[in-house]
Amino acid sequence: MNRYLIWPVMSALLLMSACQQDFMDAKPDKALVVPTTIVDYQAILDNFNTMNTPGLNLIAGDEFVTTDQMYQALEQVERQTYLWADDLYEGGSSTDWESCYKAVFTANIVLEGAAKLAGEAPSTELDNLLGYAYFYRANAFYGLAQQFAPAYEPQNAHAQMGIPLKLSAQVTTTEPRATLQQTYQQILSDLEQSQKLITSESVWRNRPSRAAALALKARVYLAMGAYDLAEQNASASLAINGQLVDFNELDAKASLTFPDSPRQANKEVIFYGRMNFYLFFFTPYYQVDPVLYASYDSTDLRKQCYYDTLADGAVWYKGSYAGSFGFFSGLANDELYLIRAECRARQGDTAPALADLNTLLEKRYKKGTFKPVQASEPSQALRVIIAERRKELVARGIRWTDLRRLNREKEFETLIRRRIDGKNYVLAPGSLKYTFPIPENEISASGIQQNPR
Amino acid sequence: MKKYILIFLLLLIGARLSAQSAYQAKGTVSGSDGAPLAGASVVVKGTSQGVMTDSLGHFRISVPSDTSVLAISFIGYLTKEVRADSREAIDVKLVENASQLTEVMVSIGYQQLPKERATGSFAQIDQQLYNRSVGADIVSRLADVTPGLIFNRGIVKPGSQTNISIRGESTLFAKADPLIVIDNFPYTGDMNAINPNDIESVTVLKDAAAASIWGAQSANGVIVITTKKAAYDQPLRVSLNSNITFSQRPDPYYLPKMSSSEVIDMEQLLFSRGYYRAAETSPNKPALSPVVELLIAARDGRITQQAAADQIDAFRKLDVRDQYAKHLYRSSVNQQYALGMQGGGKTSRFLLSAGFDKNLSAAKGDGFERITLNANQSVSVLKGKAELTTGIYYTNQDALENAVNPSMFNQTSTAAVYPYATFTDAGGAALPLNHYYRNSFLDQAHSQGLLDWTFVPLTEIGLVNNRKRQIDYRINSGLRYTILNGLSAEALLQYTASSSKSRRLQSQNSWAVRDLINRFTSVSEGSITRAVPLGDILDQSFLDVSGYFARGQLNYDRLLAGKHQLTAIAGAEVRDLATKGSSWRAYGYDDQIGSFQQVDYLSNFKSYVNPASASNRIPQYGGITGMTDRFISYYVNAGYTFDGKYIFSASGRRDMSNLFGVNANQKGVPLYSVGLGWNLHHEKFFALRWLPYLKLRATYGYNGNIDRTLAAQVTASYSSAAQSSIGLPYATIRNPPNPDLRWERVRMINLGLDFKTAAGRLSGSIEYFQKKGIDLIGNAPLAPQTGLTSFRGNTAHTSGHGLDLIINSKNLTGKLGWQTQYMLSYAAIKVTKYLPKSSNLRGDYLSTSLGFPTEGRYFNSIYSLPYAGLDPENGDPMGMLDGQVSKNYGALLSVSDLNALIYHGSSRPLVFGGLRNTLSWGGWTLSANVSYRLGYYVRMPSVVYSQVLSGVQAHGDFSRRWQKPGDELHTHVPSLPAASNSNRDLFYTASEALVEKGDHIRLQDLRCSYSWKSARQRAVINDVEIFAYAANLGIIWKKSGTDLDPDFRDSNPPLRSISFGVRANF
Repeated sequence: MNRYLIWPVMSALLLMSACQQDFMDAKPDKALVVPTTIVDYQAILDNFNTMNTPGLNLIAGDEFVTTDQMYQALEQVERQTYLWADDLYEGGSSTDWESCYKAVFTANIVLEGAAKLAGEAPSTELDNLLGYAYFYRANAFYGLAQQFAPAYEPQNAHAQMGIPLKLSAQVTTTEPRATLQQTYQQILSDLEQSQKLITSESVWRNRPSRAAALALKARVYLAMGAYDLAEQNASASLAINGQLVDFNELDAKASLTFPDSPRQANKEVIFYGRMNFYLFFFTPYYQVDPVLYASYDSTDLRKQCYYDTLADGAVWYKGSYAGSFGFFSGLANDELYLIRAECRARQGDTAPALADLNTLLEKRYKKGTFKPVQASEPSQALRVIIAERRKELVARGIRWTDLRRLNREKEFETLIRRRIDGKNYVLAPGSLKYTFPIPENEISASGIQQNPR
Repeated sequence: MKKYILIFLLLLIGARLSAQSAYQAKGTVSGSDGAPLAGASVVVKGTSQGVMTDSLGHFRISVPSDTSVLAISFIGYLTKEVRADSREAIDVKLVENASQLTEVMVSIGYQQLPKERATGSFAQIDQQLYNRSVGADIVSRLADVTPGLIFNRGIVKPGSQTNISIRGESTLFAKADPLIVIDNFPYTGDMNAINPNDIESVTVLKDAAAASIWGAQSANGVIVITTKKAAYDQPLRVSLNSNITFSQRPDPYYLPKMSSSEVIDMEQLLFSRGYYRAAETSPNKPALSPVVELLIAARDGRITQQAAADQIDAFRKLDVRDQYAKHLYRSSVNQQYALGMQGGGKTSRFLLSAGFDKNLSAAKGDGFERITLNANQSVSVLKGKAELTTGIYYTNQDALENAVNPSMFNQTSTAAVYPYATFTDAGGAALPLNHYYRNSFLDQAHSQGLLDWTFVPLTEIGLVNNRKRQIDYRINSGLRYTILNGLSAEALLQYTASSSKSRRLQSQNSWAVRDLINRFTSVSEGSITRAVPLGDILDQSFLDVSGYFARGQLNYDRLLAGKHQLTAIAGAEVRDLATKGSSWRAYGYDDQIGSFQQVDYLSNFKSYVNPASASNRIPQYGGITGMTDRFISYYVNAGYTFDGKYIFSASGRRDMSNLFGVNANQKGVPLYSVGLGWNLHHEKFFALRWLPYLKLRATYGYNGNIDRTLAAQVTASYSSAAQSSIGLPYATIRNPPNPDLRWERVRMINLGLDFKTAAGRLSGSIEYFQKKGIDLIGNAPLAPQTGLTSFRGNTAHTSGHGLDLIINSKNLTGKLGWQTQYMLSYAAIKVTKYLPKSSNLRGDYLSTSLGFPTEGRYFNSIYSLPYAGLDPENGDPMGMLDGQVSKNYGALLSVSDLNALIYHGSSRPLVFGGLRNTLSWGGWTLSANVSYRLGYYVRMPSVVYSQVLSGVQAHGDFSRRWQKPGDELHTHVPSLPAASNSNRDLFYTASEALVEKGDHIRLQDLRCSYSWKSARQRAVINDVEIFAYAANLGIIWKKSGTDLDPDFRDSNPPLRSISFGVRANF
């Protein structure tokens, strides 16, 4: 035994601590992934349920109603929303607010992570990843703006409050509310970015595509009243894949009419997305507004494909393009045809507007019974198109935005009435109730301004 | 077994090899009266080499040179130094040191310190006290004999190693276990893998000065366990230890339940209300109890009302708990054998031990066997300047886990078995139970060619074979080299590996397998398709842990200029521990040939039971896990004693880990401690003859703790396509980026006083501590716009204080000896900062789960709703709402103001301790240990009427319920409501009526022993002890008036047991 033996052992120890950087970077739990690759970030974006869009506005709108008895069984926030109460959350949180910002956070994590990968050789995969993340962020901001900010009007948008535009994944900083103009600008610029980077179509329809970015832009421009731009973007998206499903080919007896996988979604679907779940959305808590149900012709196949009747006569909706009890809030070609028809009619192009409408409706009526819609005036065409919009795009989370924008036109105003336990409630056009309050936990933590109610 | 004997023999041969050195010194050590001192220590100064004197006081030691100095010491005597002249015998007379407390060495895992020179708070359990109790695991013997240490009963934090708290809680959500150190290195493995017979002593480190050397793992306290080692120059000694423990049979009647007759009355009532109609026509065909089936048969005219009534009355006399007692339980028998051998030559020493344990549990079908082998040896080389130590510890455990849990007999997945179930008929033949499905359905299934679906309890027992084997190794090697006088360097390396394998074979004949196969069977046009194939189901899981620890350390220990004693260590250590697990399931398994079959995990199948249930997937079992734990640490610990009177100590430690964030690793503040001590009895002015020992201590410092569930980087976890709602594999973000994540810190201030009166009549210590948790892992609310609503990080604080008192007294010292040890511990830790507020008071404060941290309150607290007694009209429970008596249960439960709840106090004992009396007479010793726990509250269970009104056997308080006006004067149990009202149940179970004080005193154990020591010097048998030990004897006093043991409200208390054993040294 030699006294010098001690030194090799000691120096080995010191050496071990010298290369401690790698040693300390080992991840503590195998099941945890420290995302570093395109595959990791893609998997984070494929977490479908974190990308849901707001759903509470469907309860506040005019598509579904409920009964006295079922009203009592609803969750408190749903009861408050159904009757447009001043305080919706009563100190509680808002699923819609949280889930949309969770999607923003997820998109930001990916954008920041992908930025670190950008140093490596640029690739289509990396471009796609960025394109997806921009799309998801835009979609979440748009969903938030429809519920938590007032309807867009170009003349007021610089003065009105939009939503906080959180553009980093840093959880320790918060943003104040941007103006409505900044909000829509951010949505559009995210979509522009996305459109440039992304592939034109996707196999898994829960992943966005250029067709989806264009379609969402068409939707955003329509909400902004920019009809020419809405038409342009709708056309561009339809040029990629303008297919429609012929309802004559569907099995109207199926308990759910459409397939439930984003891989085998019906061919109209451009982007497969879902709305947040609420108890209200499950049979038998709601029933379809009787006026809406009565508006379909007997040869209109949507009456069978969209609806089913319970033993007590209540009508429930089974036509979700998500093919599940969760409601579809993604993008589909039927909406694009309707957007383009409306924009064309509003710009005075009656014939092309009617062509779009009839292209769609032909696929909705029983074979041999469809008579194309005729109109001599653009305004006459517009009325049919607006009516068909409501009948086609049921429970897609679109109606709330339509109510807010159409209520500004005398001709298309809607007064929503409710009667619960013998008391009457009304939501008048232009009411402040069309903008949801921001949940208290947000206000108290970030100090942003509350909406007037 | 042969294999182990061979290893044992090989190690034995190896141990006898030793080196020789040049000079020999020999001599005799005696006391001032001339009597030889046996066991005195003779050490060559400046080396680690030393020997003990034999029984005649003789010693013989090899020394590096003629000029070496020998230091000779003995407990209670002043140490003397002499020149080691090898030419003549050295006779040394030691002078007694009247003031010296027994020179106790405390081990902190990095060094051994004389207790007199330590400033920290240590609790020591010596071998005698440790061996007073009997038990197969190493930590349970610390219960009720260690000040400040308590074994928590009740809710156990998932994944905890020991369920011990030292000086109260130190964390909210992170790991709450104390660090266990065995032979210098942290031990994270299975407590059962160490044989308690191999333990030399246990030291519990309680304050910052004692524990902060363990840095980021020390905040919950440290338990340092030292295994037995041999000494140099020691004759070969063999020790044998054997004991056997019997426990009583578990009592299935301990937890109060409704009687069979009461349940049958309820079933009849429910039947008359048409309650079972839905079940009768349910597409799930749920099993109905025999009484309900009889009532249906009578209703449908298949039997007469009288016949049904007669059979039902016969059921009233049955109780399934008698069946449990007969078929499921037995008296447990635990056997323990240990054999040890040790010896030492001039330059080498060795120890070998082997242990064998065999337990037959009180639950039939469970058993445990363990073999442990321990070999360690040291060789002194380079004339005693260097010492090389090697050790290997091996454990093989084999556990059978085939006990039948009564839940196996459940009537359905939601209802327990009917209480009048019987397993055999009058003739003893096994009977089936009504189990999961109705018999009419089973008959139909059988006729369609499905497997027999009946459930016969007595044939089920034994059809599942669940076996767990585990092998553990620890291999230690160490090298210590004396560089200069007082300065030495050492390197230690430990390799540890553990491999466990669980194998669960469910026979195709078992009901669970037949049920699974049948549920996944489809019959079309008479042909049968089985998605789950015929055959057994085999589940296997493997867990491998391996890792190493390496440490390099410099030690310095020297008395300078006769007055300055300096002791210091400094070192670095690395730790890398990897855990890898995997598990999988084989369907259609044939154990004869080892074949199995593939199944389709992804398709949806129709249930045979309820064809409307169409999306059933074959249960998949399996996975792969992995954990990596890495640390690099630097530490220093120094003590300075001036003139034996004034002590100053300081320690510091820096930890880096793969669990911490970048910022904590790069610029983390080290954990440190400082301490002061004053040996008053060495002062000239302090000359109290009756108080020969008095020491004051004060320490201050920080300990750390870690939370393995958090990570500093952004982390995500993957889920497979099968788990996705859309069929696409995905990842979920688990953790936002947190580069500031760091260890939790606990600041502790400790003040202590140690004393001993003349002749050690009265001795003990009293300590006061203040404990402050800083940067504890807690939640903090975030603005939801960030994407998260709460954030888990270093955001919570706690604060508290406490007291540890231990007093030993020698009441009688004559032929009849009587000694008493009294212990009292107090620890009260409150939450001082916790940011989130509960939005669900009922869920967070009134359920039985772990507490919701609340500022100003104990973390584990009991709350309740005010109770206004029972309504004299109808026996409804009444609460208080805004100062008014109320029966609006929904409103009572949805209370939103925390102040509206009654805050009782801690749910963990604030005060606890023990009292142990020992009587001795000649070789006889009798001792009894009484333990107590005070200052806490418990929530008692009671009857839940929604269970009663579903025909299930509910809590026994049912028979104490309000039944007629006037009952409210002597019961608080509400009446049976007309219809099930879950809010009424929830209100009552959360009300103050059911909160009781938990305070109690328990007679923990009694021990009687006889020991005999050989009078001859070289006897074959040196000493023998035989003992009987009775444990868990029961409660002597309790504050609460209820029958249940306040610490065991939902499960049976530990079984009374008696052990007999013998220890002998040859």
